[in-house]
Amino acid sequence: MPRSKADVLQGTLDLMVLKTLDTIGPMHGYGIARRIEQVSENLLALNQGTLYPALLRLEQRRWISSRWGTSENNRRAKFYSITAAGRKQLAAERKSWERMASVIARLLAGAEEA
Amino acid sequence: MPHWGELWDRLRGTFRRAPESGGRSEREMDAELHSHLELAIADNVRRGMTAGEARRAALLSLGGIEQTKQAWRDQRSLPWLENFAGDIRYGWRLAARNPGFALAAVVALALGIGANTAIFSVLDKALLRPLPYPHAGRLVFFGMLIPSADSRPFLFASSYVDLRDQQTPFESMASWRPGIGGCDLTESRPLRLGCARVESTFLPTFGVAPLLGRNFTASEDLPEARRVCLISYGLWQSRFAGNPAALGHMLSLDGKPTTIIGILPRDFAWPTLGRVDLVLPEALTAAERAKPLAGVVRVYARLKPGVSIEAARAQLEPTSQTWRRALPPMFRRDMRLGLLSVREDQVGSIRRALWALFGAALALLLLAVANVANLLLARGAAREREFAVRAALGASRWRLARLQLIESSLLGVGGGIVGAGLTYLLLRLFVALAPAGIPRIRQAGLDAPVLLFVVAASLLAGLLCGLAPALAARPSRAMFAGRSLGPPRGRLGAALVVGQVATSLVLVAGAGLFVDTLRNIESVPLGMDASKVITAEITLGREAYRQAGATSQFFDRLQTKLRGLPGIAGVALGDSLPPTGGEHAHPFYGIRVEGRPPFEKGTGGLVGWRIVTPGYFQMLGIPVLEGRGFVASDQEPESNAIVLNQKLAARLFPDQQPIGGHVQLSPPSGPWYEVVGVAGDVKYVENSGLVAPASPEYYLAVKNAPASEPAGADARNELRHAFLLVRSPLAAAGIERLVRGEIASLDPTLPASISTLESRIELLRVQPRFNAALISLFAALGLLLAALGIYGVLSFLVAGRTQELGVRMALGAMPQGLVGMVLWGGLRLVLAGLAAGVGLGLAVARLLKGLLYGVSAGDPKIFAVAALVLLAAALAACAIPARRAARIDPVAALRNE
Repeated sequence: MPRSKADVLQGTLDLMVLKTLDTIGPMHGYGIARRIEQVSENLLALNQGTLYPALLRLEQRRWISSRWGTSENNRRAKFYSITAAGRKQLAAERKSWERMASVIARLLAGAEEA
Repeated sequence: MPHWGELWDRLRGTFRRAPESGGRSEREMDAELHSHLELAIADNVRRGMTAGEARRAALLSLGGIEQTKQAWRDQRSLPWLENFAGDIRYGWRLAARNPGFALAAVVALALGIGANTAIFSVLDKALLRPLPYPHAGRLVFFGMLIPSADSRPFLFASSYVDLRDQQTPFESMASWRPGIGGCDLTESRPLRLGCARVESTFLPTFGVAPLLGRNFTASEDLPEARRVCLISYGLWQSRFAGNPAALGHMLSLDGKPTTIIGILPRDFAWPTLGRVDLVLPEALTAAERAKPLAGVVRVYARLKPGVSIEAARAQLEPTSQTWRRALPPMFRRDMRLGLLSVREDQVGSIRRALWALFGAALALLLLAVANVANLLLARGAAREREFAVRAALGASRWRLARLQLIESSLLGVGGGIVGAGLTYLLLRLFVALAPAGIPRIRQAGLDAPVLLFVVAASLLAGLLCGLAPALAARPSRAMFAGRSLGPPRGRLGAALVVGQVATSLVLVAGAGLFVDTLRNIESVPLGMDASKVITAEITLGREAYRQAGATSQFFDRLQTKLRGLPGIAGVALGDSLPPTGGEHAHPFYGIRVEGRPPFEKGTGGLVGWRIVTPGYFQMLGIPVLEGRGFVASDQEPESNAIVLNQKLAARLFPDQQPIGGHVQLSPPSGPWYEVVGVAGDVKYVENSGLVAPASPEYYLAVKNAPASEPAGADARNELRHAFLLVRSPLAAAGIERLVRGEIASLDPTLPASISTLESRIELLRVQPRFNAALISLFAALGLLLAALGIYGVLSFLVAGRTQELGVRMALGAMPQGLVGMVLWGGLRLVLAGLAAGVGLGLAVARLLKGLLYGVSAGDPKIFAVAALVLLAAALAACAIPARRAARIDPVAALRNE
């Protein structure tokens, strides 16, 4: 695995899944994985297997729901969609992520000036 | 923050079918992964890969199917709980496969847990549970404590009134007249009630508000005020069926109209724990308030917040010096300030007894735990191979220990469940043994704190018994040695046996001390004969029997009627009954003997007195040692006969014949009495059941008619509150009915409490009987457990040494020699345990001193007997394995190898 690709941080996967489902609507596991890789322009090394426990966890937390359906090329697949609670959670996580990012950015900027 | 939905789903996932066996969610997971791969492969093919490449790439980016599945499963359930549940299932299967073993362990633990829980339940209600008053910890009881006059602190009303004007450490204070007096509801349905006379501040001090109506005011607490009262919830229910119209109702109380103004709350408990049906104003008279040494009151108070009992004591100390100066000289030296919490006052002597019993129950539990630990140890030997295999497969030592601990906890939980049932039975036994004497014993039951105790005790006991085998398990050693019955496990078992023997010796010796105490109490001659005597306690109201001579007329007619009945051997009356003290007492130095100088003031303690009719001594079997008892002519008003008890006679007439001597009683202005007889001393039985030596007493005759004396005056020889004594060879129940009928035929509104004199005395002995019965029960069970423990360990050792013994036998050892060897192996442990037990027992027994009578805490006879009993039990327990050792067939034993 090339070193330049970033490993997915623990916890950020939840945020990415929620955001993805919020943007593109109901989607199956493979689609979610592909979408995250595409958006990151293949910079993220997503171990697709780790997606499924995460999806289960999000479902257990009632942030997403699932239902079997048919894919674009006529295959059976399980489709996930974000719930109202999930949207709320997404907003909250987004806010805390942005705050964190801005703190880090300011820290790094300060460090450069010194 | 836990996600409840996630926790719930994972819990459900844990208890669904085991994922390995392919449940519904497992199939769904497979299907989803399958569809993922299909989608990925199709995608890859579309991007120009061959079918093989597409599949490999798809698998690669998924990152391993099995790993994914496992991570998924872990998310679906709670893995640690799953392991735990697995261990529990395993422990359960193990127990089910060997039900005899499980049963033995559960029964042993149930005995220990049941005994502990039952005692804890009683202890909890009596000692630990908060009293039913708000901020009860701040409630205290105080006064002058003068042991020679009264066992409980009291104050004179005048001192109390002074105290109210001073700076005190109390937020509020309240006095009441000592004792819950009997008062009679003199209506169509007569009823003897428990009445308390309290100050208007009493209920507010305790933080108690009436359920209905109101408390009385300070102005209603004056002697001339209209009479009002509050009634208990129980009386309200039984007499008025809980009708609120009871408020304002007029009761006839001792013949006087009294208005009900309030109902006490249902859970209201009197601070002395007595039964109170009616609360009346204290109504201290002006004379009582003003004159020193007049009215006697008991005082409760609520400490100001943050003031400790010690601080309050320090603050009251100077005031108590003024109390001391006001006392008659004889009491001054004896007096100290008594200040204790209401709880302490309630619990008194029972505290030590309950803790002692709790200690005994705890010892029993420890014995049970040691036994089960031994059983587990023995079985652990058989499971060494299993553990070795588990260890070889990578189980950590902690994981193996956990397996053992979970198993033993299961046994503990089983013991707890059976033990809770046992508790229920034991509590019923307690109530049957001790209906009175232990505060709130009837409330003891399986409530929340007690159940919590059961759970804690079972888990703790279970873990404790698992500790020994968990520590002893050495799988690695077993792997290399192949088979091991080495010393560490043997040494642990031996230590357990020594501990068991020591503990049960303490139990048995303790039981011996308590049983001896009970026997001493019951066999000590009280100086009277209580058999075949029925007593009836009667109080004639001051209103209904107002006229001069009314009371003596009533008692005369009652005696005459009873004497005329067949089967009645004799009838007598007295105002009090031994073996409890008299109603009255005065200082010894107040007595003057004709022809002698007065006694020095302040000497001699108190002298009690009783007024009795001529048949009294005969009825109670009190011997008249010199002179004569009372005769009918002594009841004439002009007669001045007095009978002294032996102790008083010896003090008043140390060097001369008392008969014919003349004495003047306190106060000295009274008439001179002529000593006509000396009666035998009667010992006292105290509330704790222990026997106190007799104290000086005298008897006066009940007078026929107090003639000229005005009604209600404290005529010395007038009977108002009386015990009727009836001696009859007939069955007690029939006589009781007869007496009740005769009393009712004279005055149907008069309540009377009737019982045999023996049962009255028995009631006083409830506490020692309770102690002796319980501790004997625990000791017997403890002995059994210890014997079983010794047997178990020795059998195990013999089984482990089968080959060695076989070799010895093959080499020519005699069977007797082998028996001796095994016996000695067991006895060595027993003797060590006995030595340790005697040391421990002597230390423990010293804590029991206040509970024993007629036997010293370190009584060598009792300890010797206890040791012998244990030795006998131990020998019996050793004998079986020893015989087994002698019967070993050397050929079979060696072939086994």
